[in-house]
Amino acid sequence: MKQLFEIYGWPLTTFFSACVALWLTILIVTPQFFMIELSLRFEDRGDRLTKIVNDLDVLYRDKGTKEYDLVNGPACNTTGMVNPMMTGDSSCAQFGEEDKLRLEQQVRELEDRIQSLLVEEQNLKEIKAQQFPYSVRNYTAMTGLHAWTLTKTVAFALIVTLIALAACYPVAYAVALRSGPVKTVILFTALFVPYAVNELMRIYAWLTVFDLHGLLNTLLVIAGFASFASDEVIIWYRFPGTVLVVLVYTYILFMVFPIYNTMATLDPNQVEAARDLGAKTWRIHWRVIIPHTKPGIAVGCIMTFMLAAGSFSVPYIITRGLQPKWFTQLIYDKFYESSNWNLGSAYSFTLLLICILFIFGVMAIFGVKLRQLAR
Amino acid sequence: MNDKAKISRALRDGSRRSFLKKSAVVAAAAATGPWIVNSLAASKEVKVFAWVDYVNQDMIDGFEKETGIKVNLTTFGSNDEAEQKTKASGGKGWDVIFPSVTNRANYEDANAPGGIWLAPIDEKRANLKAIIPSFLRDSIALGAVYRDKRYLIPYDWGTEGITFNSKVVNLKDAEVSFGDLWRPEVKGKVAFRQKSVIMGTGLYLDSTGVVKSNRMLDVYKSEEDARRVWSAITVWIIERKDWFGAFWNNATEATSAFKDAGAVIGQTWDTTGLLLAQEDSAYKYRAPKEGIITWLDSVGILAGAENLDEAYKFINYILTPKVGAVFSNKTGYNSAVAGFGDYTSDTFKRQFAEVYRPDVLSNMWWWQADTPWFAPMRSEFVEKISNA
Repeated sequence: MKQLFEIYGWPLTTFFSACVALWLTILIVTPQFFMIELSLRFEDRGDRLTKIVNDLDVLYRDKGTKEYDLVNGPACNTTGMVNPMMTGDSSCAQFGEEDKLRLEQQVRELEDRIQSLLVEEQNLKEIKAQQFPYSVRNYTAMTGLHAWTLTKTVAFALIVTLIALAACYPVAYAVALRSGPVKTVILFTALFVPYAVNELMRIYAWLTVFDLHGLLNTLLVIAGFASFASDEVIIWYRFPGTVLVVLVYTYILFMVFPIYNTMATLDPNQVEAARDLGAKTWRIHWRVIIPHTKPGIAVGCIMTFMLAAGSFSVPYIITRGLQPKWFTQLIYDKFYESSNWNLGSAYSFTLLLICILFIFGVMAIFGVKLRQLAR
Repeated sequence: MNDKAKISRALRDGSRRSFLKKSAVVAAAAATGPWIVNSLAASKEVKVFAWVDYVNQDMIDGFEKETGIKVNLTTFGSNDEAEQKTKASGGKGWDVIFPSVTNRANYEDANAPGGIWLAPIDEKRANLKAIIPSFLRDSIALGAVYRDKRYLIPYDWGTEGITFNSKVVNLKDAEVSFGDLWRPEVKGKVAFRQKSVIMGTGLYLDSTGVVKSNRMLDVYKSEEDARRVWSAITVWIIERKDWFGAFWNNATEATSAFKDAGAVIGQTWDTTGLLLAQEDSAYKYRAPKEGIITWLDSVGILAGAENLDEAYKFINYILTPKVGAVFSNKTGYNSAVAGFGDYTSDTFKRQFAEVYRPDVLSNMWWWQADTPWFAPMRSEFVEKISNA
């Protein structure tokens, strides 16, 4: 810190520190804290309070309808366009005195029941407010189906990482060590250009390949293996492989770059020296290039794995819902479909923990330290 | 090279310095920009949060021409999305919202100012007289009222029935059934959304006596009944998983299920079937004999609405018969505004008469008001179907 003050002077250093602090609070601490807090609150939807709130709702609706009738008379059809009615008379008759009295009596009875339930609701709310609100029930609530989804998602992300590694290592090697400046530029441009296109557009582009009348099926028809007319075509998005292919394609650059970066710092003389001393090609890779590239490979694997495990759009768009959902989609559903933010938070935190475990696992396998990764 | 030397070298590098300066200018502009725009527009704007196809350009232009108020439109694709986004934004950010009337209870939240993320409707300012009276009345039973105050105004109704390609499956109008999704000849070419196929197929199974559910009203009765009925239906559907052709969650996906994913029959909203039929007469949208699934959508005001005057002006504008007709012509949904029928197009009138025969209108199945267990349990069974 003292060094920073000496180099930049106090105004700039203060500004930088403030920016870093803001970044940490807004982007890291606050959302994580919010999420952990939510995940530790268990919402019991089967408790007495929920039931009372629901019962109150039913009574209020009933009372509201009766009060409406008292003011407006029985519902009647008054429009030119025929309209459906669920309840009520279709005639426009007026209520008689007797009907009115009966309705008023019913409204009063409903009001009494509402009042007693309101008291009980208030009591239960006060009791709830005094209770300790936190528990780990959301973390232990994962059902078999959800655990299986999580396992599959992690397994798929691992497969994606391995395929990407197998595909990227040769590419990085070719660009870093085996090509002159011109070739390097050409190869890099070829790698880069697809990534100038928006990620969603690239995913939808793959949909046109896998679709029923897409590129793959059209080629099959031209080759005579399939037919559009008799519907003998392959429904590609039923195969899990499609998601893997698109994921590898989408995140491959995050594997190439770290590997290329570390590989490019290797002195080519070392490779030559190894060859001169009689090492075979595989041995040169195993003993010279890979050990040097380890941090790059580790970073590439970590980034690809995290992105693949956390990918939402690829499985969502490519499968058209016809494959079992990924864990990320499950988390989305917890928030947006079943309205259970607490469980959703617990699930997303579980996924985060698994990803962190993966990082440490990879670091242990490759024997790299956090300091090396940061470089 | 030590860190100090690295940093001072970086500092000497002129390009980085000018980059820093430039980025500071950009950051400053970005920070002030939205604030200026906000303060300028605050007085003449209404922020609308609506279903994707609900507020079309004609309505926006017409409203702006009449009142000079700009419409700032955000769209959603499902009730759940609208609810969760409202909850996430604390009931602010929009003025007018279009929930399904049966979903009002999902806007209740202990964290909301009045216990709910919606604002009570001021019946003096909203032109409730414009609405067909039976909708105004029935909307109370479906959930438009919360603790003695009205929060939602009926806006339109529509249905979820069967869309089919009559060139492939030729069904007679009066004999269409929710069970037709599972006919042998449509294997692998069926489109539906999981959360409502368990209702449609449930109605079919109730009518054939396989799973008794009192016309699916049992799932609203109690948690135990809901679990009993939906479990049995889900098992029955999963046994036929080879029939699944495409799932949809919004109107766009439903249309694409037929156009791109090869579906020939599906349980869809009316808009999908009716608009497909306008393009290609082979497509038909018909009511199943078990009773077509019907929903009532509504318009309301958010608890944190900033432009209340503009919001009421907007609501009263869309509740005029002419605008109701513009809405219906474009979407195929039916306006809840009295007298909108006089302004609808011939196509709309013809399609309405084709689908909503008198026997259909007297046998509609209405979505009921949500209960606390409804959404979570339904999503549990939806997951089972999705993972089949």
